[in-house]
Amino acid sequence: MYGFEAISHHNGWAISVVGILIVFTGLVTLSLLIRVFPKIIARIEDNGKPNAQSSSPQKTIPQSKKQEPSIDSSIKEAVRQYQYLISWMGEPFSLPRLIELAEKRGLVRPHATVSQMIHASVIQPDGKGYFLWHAK
Amino acid sequence: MDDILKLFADFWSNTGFALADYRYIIMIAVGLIFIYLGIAKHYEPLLLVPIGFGILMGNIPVFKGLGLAIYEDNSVLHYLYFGVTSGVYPPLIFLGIGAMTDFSTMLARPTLMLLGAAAQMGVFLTFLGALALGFAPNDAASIGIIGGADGPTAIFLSAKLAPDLIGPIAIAAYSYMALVPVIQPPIMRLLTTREERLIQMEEAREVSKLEKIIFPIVGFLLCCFLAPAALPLLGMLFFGNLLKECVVAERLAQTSRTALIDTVTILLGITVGASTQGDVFLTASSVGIFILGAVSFGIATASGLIFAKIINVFSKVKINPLLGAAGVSAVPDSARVVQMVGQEEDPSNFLLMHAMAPNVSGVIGSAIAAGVLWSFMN
Repeated sequence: MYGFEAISHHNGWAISVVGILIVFTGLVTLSLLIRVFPKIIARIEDNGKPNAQSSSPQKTIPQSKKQEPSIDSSIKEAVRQYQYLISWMGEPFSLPRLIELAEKRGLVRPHATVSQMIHASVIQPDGKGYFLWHAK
Repeated sequence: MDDILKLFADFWSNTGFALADYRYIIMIAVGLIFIYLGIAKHYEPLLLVPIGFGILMGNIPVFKGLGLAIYEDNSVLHYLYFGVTSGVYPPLIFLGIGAMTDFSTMLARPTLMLLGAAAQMGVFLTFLGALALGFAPNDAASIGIIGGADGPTAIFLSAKLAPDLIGPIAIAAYSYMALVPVIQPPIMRLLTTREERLIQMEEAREVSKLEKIIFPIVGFLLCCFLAPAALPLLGMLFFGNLLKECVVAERLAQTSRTALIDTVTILLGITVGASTQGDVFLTASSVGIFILGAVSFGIATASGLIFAKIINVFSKVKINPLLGAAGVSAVPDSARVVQMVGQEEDPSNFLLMHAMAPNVSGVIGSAIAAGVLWSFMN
């Protein structure tokens, strides 16, 4: 059996329509849930604030913040952007090439930012003239 | 003297030279091409080199009954092949993929997930095409999933639905995955205008650590409640991603994305390659599967591109339609191809990170599609 007759005989039309609808339903629902994630998280964090204030001032929240990665908050966003560039380039990478890509991408003050990241040990030399990425 | 000559004659009759026929020679040539493409052209070398060498191993003509060939019950290759036929290897590969995938770009721009869903139309349209060409429903479903451009998913589904076709389906799926940089660009240029290819994407928002930890749990529960048959694949994918994002299990994540996935890839590649034994593999249906696989892959790419253009009709914020091509789940090759084609028009257009969103959602979408097809065929 061939052609449309075979498709109809094996219920192919219905399977395909229902199948693609299920795939779309799954991913659309997931995307809607992802969209509300930040709001839910913000609400949870807002609800948590009064409790944190009402408890003793020596609560461990500031300490746990100190234990976060040692990347300076001023370059956190830059680290994220540069991480994409480096994932594209692969490691070890050449610094001039990284700066060139950052300039093409329109990132602000790439030389200064790269210098800051070297000081923060986010970018470290591999000893062979190239560099490695050390941000987590 | 006669005894010596007889021994030589017996020995000669058992050598590969005496047992070979043209089918083995053709397959050995195919294996050599795979190895060449992997090593010289760098097309998916981690897959094509093991598969190519596996093809060579599977096509050494051997004396039947000695327990050497992959299809003989007591052969070592047969035991290793069990991981393919039983569907054990693909979920382990998904575990590694989950442990190395960063879902942040998808979490930052969830709308792009729809492109991953749209690309799955290729799976279902090819399913219809295979039915129309006279394939049985189980075989047609396994052939259709090639359009998902996801080797492990294709192997998993064909192991469950069409074990006899694992070899050709796996080889077709991995071949087309390796040839993403060759197959996709002409379709992308054909279906988009230069103005569309020049569209620059807005900077994505920053995704918090908590979001990244919650996502694999919510994603797993939602997808597997919706399509329980996708549990072995999506369960391992999301589990691997949770290991990565929760940080406290970094050692397990590290093993999953390095030693474990590498080991399984070697075993999978070698045994899938070896399963292409000339006398079993070179059939009319294998040729049909290769043709349908190419069609499926093309349709999947086109579906993603066209859907992106449709989104642009209704959306105020335009997206670059090239991103639709990354909806097929060949991670990260199709995202790289999007970047490459985008930069041909405008070297300052950086699409890679945006293309990763439909790319990883394509992985989820093709696993759901496989689960759906498996449940329907049962």
